Amino acid sequence: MKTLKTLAAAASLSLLAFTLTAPVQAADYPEKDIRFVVWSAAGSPLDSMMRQLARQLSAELGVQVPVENRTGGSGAVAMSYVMTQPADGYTVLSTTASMTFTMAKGQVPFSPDNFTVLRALQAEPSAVAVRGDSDFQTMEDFVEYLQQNPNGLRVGGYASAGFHQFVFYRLQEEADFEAAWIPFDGGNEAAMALLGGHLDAAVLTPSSALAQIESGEFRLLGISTDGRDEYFPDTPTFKEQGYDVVESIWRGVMVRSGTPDEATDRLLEAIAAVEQTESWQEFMRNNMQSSLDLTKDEMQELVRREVESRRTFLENSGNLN
Amino acid sequence: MQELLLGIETVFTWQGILAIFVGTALGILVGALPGLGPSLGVALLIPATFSLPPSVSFNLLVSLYIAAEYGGSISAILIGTPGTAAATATVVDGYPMNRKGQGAMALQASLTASTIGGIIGAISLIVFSQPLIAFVLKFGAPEYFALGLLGLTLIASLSGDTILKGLIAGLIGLLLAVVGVDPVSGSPRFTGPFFELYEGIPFLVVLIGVFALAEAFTLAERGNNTSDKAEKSMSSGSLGIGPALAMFPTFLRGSVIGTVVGAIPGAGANIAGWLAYVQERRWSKEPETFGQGQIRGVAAPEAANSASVGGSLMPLLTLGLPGSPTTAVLIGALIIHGLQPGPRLFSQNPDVVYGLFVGMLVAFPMLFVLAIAAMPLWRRVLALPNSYLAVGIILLSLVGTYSFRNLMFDVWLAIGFGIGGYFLKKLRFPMAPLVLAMVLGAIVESNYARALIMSQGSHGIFFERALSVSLIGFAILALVWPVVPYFMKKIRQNRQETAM
Repeated sequence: MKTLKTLAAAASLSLLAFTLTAPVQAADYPEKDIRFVVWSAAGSPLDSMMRQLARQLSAELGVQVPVENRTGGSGAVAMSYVMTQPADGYTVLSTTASMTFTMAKGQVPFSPDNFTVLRALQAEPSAVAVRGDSDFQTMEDFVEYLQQNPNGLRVGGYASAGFHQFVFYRLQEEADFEAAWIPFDGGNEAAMALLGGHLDAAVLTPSSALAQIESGEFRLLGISTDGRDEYFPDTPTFKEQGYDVVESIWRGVMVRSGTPDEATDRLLEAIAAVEQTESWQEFMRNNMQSSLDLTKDEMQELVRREVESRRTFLENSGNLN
Repeated sequence: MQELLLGIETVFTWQGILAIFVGTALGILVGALPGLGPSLGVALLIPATFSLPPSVSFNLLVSLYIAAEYGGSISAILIGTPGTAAATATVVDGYPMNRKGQGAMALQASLTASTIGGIIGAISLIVFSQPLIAFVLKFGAPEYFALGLLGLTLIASLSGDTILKGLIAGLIGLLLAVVGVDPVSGSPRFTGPFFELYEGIPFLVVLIGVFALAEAFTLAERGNNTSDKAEKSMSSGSLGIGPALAMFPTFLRGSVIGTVVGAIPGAGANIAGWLAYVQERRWSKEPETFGQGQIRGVAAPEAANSASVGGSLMPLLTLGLPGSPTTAVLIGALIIHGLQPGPRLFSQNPDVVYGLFVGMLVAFPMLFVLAIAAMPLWRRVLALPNSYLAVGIILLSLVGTYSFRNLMFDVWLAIGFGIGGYFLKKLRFPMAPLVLAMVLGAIVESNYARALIMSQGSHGIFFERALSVSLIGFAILALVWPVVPYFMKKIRQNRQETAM
């Protein structure tokens, strides 16, 4: 009876500690299950990355890592949920570069200060694709045509005011041409529109139209990686063609800011170990993903910089008033 | 031939058959439970397939998809609630059949239609993928807009004898579709303080509200005085072989519509079901019986939504691109297994492709047998007194709503729609136009905007190509057609009067 009472007292005390988010003892992290919260639907690319990581992290840390999907509000639903949980490293949230857009738009009531992005495990570039029978062979052909014929081509891709439009906007800024953006509800719809001749060029994630690129139905004019992409080594980068546009859409994990270093360090150490394994690397190859390989501090810096650059883009493209 | 043998070898192992059995059984359940649909069901099952060979796991997932498209009709007929979005059109005649005491017949018609439609869809997938996809690629923004417009004109024919109320319900649906992040500017619209609404009002939540909850409230109000309804419902009549054979043209029409519309990305099973329903009504010699419990009104949409499975797999196999939410998840599953979806699958993993073809042809007969075996179970459900049934529906609906996004917000929203739907029902507003308009509203709006960006503001783009012109022509025809008999009658009356 007495033990029960002490237990109850201890439980309520620890509850109190959680609600006050007082510094949490994390020396023995992890002592219990770590929950993964994913802000996209089950079966999405982000979800499959998180589930792969959860499985391997669970083996690495010796605790269960259950995955929960909380979709909605462009990630805001999951973020608000995580904000109600203690900053103790036992709730880990998925994140992607799309967060920097929603934060720049002010669509989510959070800023980069609310979270510590631990690691970007995956990154994918954006590329300008035309049909195989197009006259355009290089970015220069494409740019020159648009400079001489403003709005003379139909260019589009996934989403309005999102990553691919941002890349296209950056290209316009670098090369000084004018073209409207035709937003689609999915990268697949943009690829089909290009295939069917309804678009002259699509800005898309190359892995999402792999079959068409390999068969030669699509030709990539340029890609947004820094050096040649490991999966598309034959595609010249924007940068080497003289347009300084280096951007990637990354996927990773983050925790509430204020999470004790003991917990984040241990998590990062375990993630690093997972990234070394052959099964993780095979998963990355299957999904044609590259690693950004940035430290925690470099990640915070990148997120802040991205929110700023997105905001400028949104203001200039008229998507933000 | 060689390849089909390979497919048969892949499927006819104990693992292969067991996978199809398990997938089908789970699929019926997933489909019948409002809230759980094929895409969520497939996604939830993926982790269970990691240790299986790719061909077996793909068959497991596809059989779940197949069975779920059928399963949606069970709750549509039994409790007036579409179990999946694609079974919404089935409610219109399926539920009245049940109320008239022909529940068993409706269930059998839906199962027969699903099986035949599904097999036709699967055969089309094997034989017609290439030409159909070539046709689908002709769909640009103007064509999608015209298709949506054609769909909207169907509202008039779904309104029963209250055209005005039907139109009002349709407008409510269009207004609901407006909520969410604007597809063109990317900024939120009518979302108020709720970021839960950025992706729009979830269609599923509206379905559960206006069908399931509204029906449960009505049942509860009616009380237990109709408890004898159940026995009558299941006992009176079953679908004989003769009448089933007579419905073959209906199955065929539904299947063709389902396959084609299923192959068009963004259209899918849901719209296929509606188009098939309305086409069937148009073909019928007694269109006035539709909405009152006409068996062909159950068979047509069910043949269509099952046939759409084969159609929706066409872009996946020929282009490597998803054409529907469920096939998007299936592509994810293929990638997890280290396969690249698309035409390369045929050469690199023929066991998966031909295993899928043979697997689908096995899955539909399997579905038929399993569903027949499950029929007595539904009889029990119907035997429940109204009070239990109402509570059961409410419970299932709310759990289903919550499991969709793990959000209490959706539950409150569903309850709100339930109350709204209850009053609309009391005032005799038809619900079908509301949900149809909601589905089509998004397609019409975003493609209208997309087309105008493409043409730099000129409406001429809608009349540039034959396909969009003919779709718009059909839409106008659909609007004018119902009025023609009325004027014909008037003219005839006038003539008779002058003759006298």
